[in-house]
Amino acid sequence: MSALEVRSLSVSLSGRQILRDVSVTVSQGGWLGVIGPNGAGKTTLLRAIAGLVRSSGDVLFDDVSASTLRPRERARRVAIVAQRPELPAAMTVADYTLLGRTPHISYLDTETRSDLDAAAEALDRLGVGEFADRTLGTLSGGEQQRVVLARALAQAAPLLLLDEGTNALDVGSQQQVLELVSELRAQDGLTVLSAMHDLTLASQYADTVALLGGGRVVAAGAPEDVIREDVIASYYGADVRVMHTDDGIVVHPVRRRAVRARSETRR
Amino acid sequence: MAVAEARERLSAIPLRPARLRVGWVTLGVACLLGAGLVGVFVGAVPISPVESLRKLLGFLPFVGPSHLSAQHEAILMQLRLPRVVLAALVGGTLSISGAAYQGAFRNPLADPYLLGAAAGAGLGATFVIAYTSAGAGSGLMPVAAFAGALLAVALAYVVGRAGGAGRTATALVLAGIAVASFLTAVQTYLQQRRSETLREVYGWILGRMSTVGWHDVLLALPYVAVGAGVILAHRRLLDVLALGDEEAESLGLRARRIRLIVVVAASLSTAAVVAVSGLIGFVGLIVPHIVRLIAGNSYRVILPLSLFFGGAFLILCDLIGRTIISPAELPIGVVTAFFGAPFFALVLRTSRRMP
Repeated sequence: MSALEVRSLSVSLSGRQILRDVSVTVSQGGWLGVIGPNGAGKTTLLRAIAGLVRSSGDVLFDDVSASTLRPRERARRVAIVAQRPELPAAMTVADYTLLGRTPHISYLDTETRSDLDAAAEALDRLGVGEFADRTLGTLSGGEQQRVVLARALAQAAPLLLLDEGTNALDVGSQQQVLELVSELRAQDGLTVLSAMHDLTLASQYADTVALLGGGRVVAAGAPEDVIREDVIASYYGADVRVMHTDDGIVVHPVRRRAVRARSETRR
Repeated sequence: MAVAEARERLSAIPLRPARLRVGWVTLGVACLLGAGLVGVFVGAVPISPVESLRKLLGFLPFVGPSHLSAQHEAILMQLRLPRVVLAALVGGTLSISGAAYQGAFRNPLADPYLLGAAAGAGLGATFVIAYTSAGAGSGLMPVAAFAGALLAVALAYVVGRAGGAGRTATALVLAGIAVASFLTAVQTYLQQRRSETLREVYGWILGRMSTVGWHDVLLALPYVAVGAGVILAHRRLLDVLALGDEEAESLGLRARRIRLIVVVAASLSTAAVVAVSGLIGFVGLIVPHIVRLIAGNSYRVILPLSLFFGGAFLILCDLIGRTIISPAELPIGVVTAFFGAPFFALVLRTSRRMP
């Protein structure tokens, strides 16, 4: 059974088609890395899955069509970590994490003991329990990212969408966050779909990747089948070397010969 | 075993969500009651506070009969008390509505007049004063002001939806500004054409609490009760809206619908108090911020405390307005800004919280 199935999804935003006929599936407990150049439609794909933009086609969570779900029910099945989440500076970490419980609290009600426990557990598992009383504005970028993840974890949805949540972080924090997601995935059987910029990290953490180009899926499969020098060259317009090491694929950019030659003659 | 261990670990985490603390409620109620008593005791005619208190608490057992003269009793029960209650009602309503607007639009500069309620009410009142024989004291005034305020907000909503495809709160705010400017222009035109009514119109626009008997209180109370009740019920949801529409929707809420409900409730209660008291600036903008600075940033705290502190603040402002140049009265809108602004500056300076 697939935890997430996207069937010929198309999205148009103000008259411009962003996604065309996109189909992807992620099995229960799997991690799909969505890669592609800027503007390829990665963020829009995540937003469409979360129901935040109007789309045609179908999205199924555990074989249940999203079109049959009410917003609250959908939010109990899928949590999204936005690319630049809104972090009200004066809000405490505890209050922020508790907001993740919103889909489990009926409209005009307030949190129960079990909501508080779920939020506390999420903070604890992400190692930010000690920050509970601090305000979001006083946290570092890495700490904020973990708190945002804690809110998503408190939401207790079996599918987690991560939108390049790591690209503003230093390499250590970035790795920590991905490791945490990887752990949660192993422990809870969480299904992950993440939009990623760093191809090396994508190949290390995702078990399948889908490459978006111009709003379509142009390649999908195991990381080593998709992340190839010729593919990256044609869709990213980048010259890279892809090295297969014991630790997985390493993608590193190389300076273009033509450009280098020109700048050398000028010198 | 593992569960017990996990429990123990969890209890170590200081998870204290924003809640309205008993201490703050107590202080709020105490301020409101204290201001109310001072407001009832102080006035142009000296009346014994002890006897007044005896009269007010006469419904309790073991409180002896009051020895107030019939005249003093009338001043107390038909002039001062309704006036204090009206001030509390108006101040509390403007403050909680201002807080609701600030939350719904995620804009700290929002006040209950943001979508043109003041301009609409002003137009309605000016129309009655300048073009009917009824004049400022008539029963037609509150009706016209109420209708004007609600029409203005409805117009802003329609314009805002058409302009910004109903998507953004900013489109709505801009529509509100346009509607307010337009209605103010119409109001000024009407007022200039009948310049002999200028003074009366200005007297209304600067706000007043003068009331005889309980009529105005009873007029506004049903709308205020419903409006404040709806706003208070949405306190947790306003905290979720602080994340922006998209994230609120990702948590399963319909952000625009919640904003509409809260804005309608706040506008309805604002229109009701504007109808009975005129336009009183500053309260709806500043009281929620003072509460925010001293008591915390969650709407669960801001909304109820704004109700108490806003009420107390306006009672005191009205007291100053009617005593400082007695027997004449200073318009209450002047007092709110004159004393409120320095106080706000003080709180801003001494607070370590972000506004």
